[in-house]
Amino acid sequence: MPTAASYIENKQILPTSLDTQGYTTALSAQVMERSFVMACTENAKHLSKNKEMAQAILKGRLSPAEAREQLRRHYAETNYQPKAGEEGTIKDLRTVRRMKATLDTNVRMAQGWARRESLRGKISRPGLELYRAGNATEPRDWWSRWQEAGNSVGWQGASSTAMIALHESPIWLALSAFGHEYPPFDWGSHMNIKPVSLTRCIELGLIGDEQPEEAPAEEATPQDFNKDLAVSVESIAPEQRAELSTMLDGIASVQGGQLSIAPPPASGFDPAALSPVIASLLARKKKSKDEEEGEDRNA
Amino acid sequence: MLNLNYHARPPDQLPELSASGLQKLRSAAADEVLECTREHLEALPGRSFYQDSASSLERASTAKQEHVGITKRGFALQYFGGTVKAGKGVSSKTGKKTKYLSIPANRGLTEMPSAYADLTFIKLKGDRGALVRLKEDKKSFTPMFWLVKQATIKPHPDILPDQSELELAASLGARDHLAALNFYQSNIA
Repeated sequence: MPTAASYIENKQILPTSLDTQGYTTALSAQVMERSFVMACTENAKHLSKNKEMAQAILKGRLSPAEAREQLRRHYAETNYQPKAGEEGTIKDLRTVRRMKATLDTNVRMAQGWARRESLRGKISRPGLELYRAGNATEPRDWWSRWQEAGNSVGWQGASSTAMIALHESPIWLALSAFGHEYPPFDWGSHMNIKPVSLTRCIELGLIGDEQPEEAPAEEATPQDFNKDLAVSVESIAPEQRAELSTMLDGIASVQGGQLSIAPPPASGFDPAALSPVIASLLARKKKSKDEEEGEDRNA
Repeated sequence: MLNLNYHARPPDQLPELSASGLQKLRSAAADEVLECTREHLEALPGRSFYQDSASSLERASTAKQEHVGITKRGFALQYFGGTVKAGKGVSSKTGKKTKYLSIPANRGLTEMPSAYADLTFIKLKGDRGALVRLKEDKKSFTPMFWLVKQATIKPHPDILPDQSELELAASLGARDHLAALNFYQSNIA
């Protein structure tokens, strides 16, 4: 069974000078999902320590308060100093708010992923229900959001009268602010998913009540993390695609306009190799953007 | 992680199942045990501790058993109860073994004592002490943490569903799995 800690374990440290908006724009949801990234944090030691703490919380080795205490010690030992004028703000890695934002978000995403994976392919529980699992100070209107997401996917495998949809319905992706099919579906959201019985799915018309000729894939094993993962590289010039293909040899392959990530066990590559490649691409992208802006200014 | 062992009776009139079919049946039963536990934890009043415990529920399978575990740190202590003594951890201030356990004096204190500046130690009667924040007059103070040599937590068996609820959940999971197999006309032999 998938564990939440394994989700964090699979992530590669990705140093970046970009802020949250910057890296969420620059990176696809799939790359984000595979990266341990913190806004404006280029120091690999700090990233690595945060990743280690998130794993320790998920494994029950540390409470969140103990993990933050260890982070404080780490920042003191490594003489971390925020940039001038950023002391005490969210950009200061030592603040409780920043530590909570990093650890809570990573822990909750890992748990959301593990939960969805553990509910995958259950023949007696083919549906999932979106429900509020905790009290929010300012609850969002998830019913309206459900309607909007449902309309955007033509209610494929989803109910318009209850926040219930089949596991494979595209509504889950449409619902998420992060481009994931699992909770949390937005920053600080307490909405979670729970399994829905076959009987209820039939009642809602999500599954026909006649016995099908073929059984669905029963008790599917959790999907490989990189199954069917492909990123469009059509915007990249052919010669750069060839260069990218060489850089990612053994990690991913570029065919036509698609870059496909190879599954780790089959390819046998060291996933840690992906991190510097992405970092180098991001740096190049930033440099090229800066140069463009410079040209604009000069013009 | 908290691990409790239960033995669930197989459903009556169990059809003949292959080894993998039997394992899927067991998994379906364990899934429902997990859901029953999650609902129970989420319905508990009070702090986010139990919400976090519900989120930390995990399930694992071995060749003969299904495991449902709660990885949330401190959950087993709440369930079984017990006495926690100072001297196991290392003080972040002195680097030596801790002399006291610190208990926040109010719920707003979410961090360990070293995160708060300007705390003053005062000795109280017996083996107790406090970390306080002195007010401007330097005579009165606000207690921030109570310091004790040991703390005893009472057992809270009610934070988990009782065994009959869990057994009922297991049989419901198994029954629904068999009904679904029947619905899909699976080849279960």
